[in-house]
Amino acid sequence: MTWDAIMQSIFSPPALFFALGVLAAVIKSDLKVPDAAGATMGLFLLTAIGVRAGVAVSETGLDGAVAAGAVAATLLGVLFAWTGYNLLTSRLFALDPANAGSVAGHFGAVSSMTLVLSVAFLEQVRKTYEPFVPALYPFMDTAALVTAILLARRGMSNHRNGNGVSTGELLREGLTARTTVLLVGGLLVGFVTAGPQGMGRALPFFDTLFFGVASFFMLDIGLVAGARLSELKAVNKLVLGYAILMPLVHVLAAALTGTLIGLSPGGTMVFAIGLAGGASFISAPIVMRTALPQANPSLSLSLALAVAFPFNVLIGIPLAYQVSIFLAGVF
Amino acid sequence: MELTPAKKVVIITEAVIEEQVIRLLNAQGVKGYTVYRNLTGKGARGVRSGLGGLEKLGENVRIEVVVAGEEQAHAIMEAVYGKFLAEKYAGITYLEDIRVIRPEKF
Repeated sequence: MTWDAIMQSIFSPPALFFALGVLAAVIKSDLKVPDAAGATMGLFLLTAIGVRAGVAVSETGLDGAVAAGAVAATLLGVLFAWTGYNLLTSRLFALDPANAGSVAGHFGAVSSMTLVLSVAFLEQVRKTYEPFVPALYPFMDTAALVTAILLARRGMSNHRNGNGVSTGELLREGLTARTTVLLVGGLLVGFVTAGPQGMGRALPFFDTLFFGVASFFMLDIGLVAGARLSELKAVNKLVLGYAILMPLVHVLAAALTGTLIGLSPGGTMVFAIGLAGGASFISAPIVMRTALPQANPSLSLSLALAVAFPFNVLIGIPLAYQVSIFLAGVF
Repeated sequence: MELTPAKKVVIITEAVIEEQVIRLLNAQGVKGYTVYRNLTGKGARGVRSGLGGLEKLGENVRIEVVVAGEEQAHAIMEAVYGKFLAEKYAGITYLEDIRVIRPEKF
């Protein structure tokens, strides 16, 4: 991995604003991003990715790669959750089924903010990617969450433990979640209205503001992550190691898959780190809290937000970039 | 003005299960309720507070239901306790004696 790519990732506005947020939380500053502002920025970023993807798709057109991508994303989601659950319940990590399912689900699911940063990174290095790749989000996300929950429920001997949320409801929740609606819906809106008289007039709003809002929003995420750092002290060191190593395994598996289904290096990178590498810390915690109430919510959340996310910002993103370029040269 | 005695059930619990609690209240036949959102506080599970708008995971909600009789109030509290508060979710529920102007509304 070249030193330049790491430096570029560390000394980027999003990474440094994230660090500033963590610092502010650690020194107990009175800095706070109002809830409504944080929520609005999150919605804006997802809409911007969706809309811009739609416009780009209308220019480049679609081919069989979309179907291959959707199938690959679904299979990887199932595989990640299944591997994660079996590893975490093994003698090595020895987590109970509920917590193993919750952690495996968080790590198999997609982190929308890692997706945002991977897109922002590619823009910084001026590398193109297949615009439909971010919209594969719901396939991997839903597949991983549902698999993890089903495995955990099967693992819990006491069936009265569940919260009565059926598999059908889980699928419906995944496919109607705000992230899915904004990414896929935004893509459709962008696709249908592309052109100077349509989205062309709104696009500057999404284009120009995207990187700045992404950077600023990291301050909010840093604040929340920093506030959870102290929870890590209570976490088993092996499980902590899992939270650092698993994103790397996911990145490598997905980069290989992305290359094999014919994505460009840029598209492979978004697939590998933007979809596979991140651990969800916005949507998965809610799903898990309702579907697996026995699991400790702060364990999975602090692993995803305070370990996996910063690790991905520093190492995961530049690594995925280098690996994707390397694999494109090999195959 | 004449006031009629009635009962108010208060439920303070995790924001993530707001919809499920409401569904349970509707199944209990309540005619209305009030929800207070974005609440924080401290209890057996430590300080609960929001996540900077990222999500509602750490937040609490307070749900108030007014019913006419003590019996219905008890049924609601038992159902909420049994389904949510006994072991799975953070929260409390308690009963208050109140007086209302229009008893037929409850």
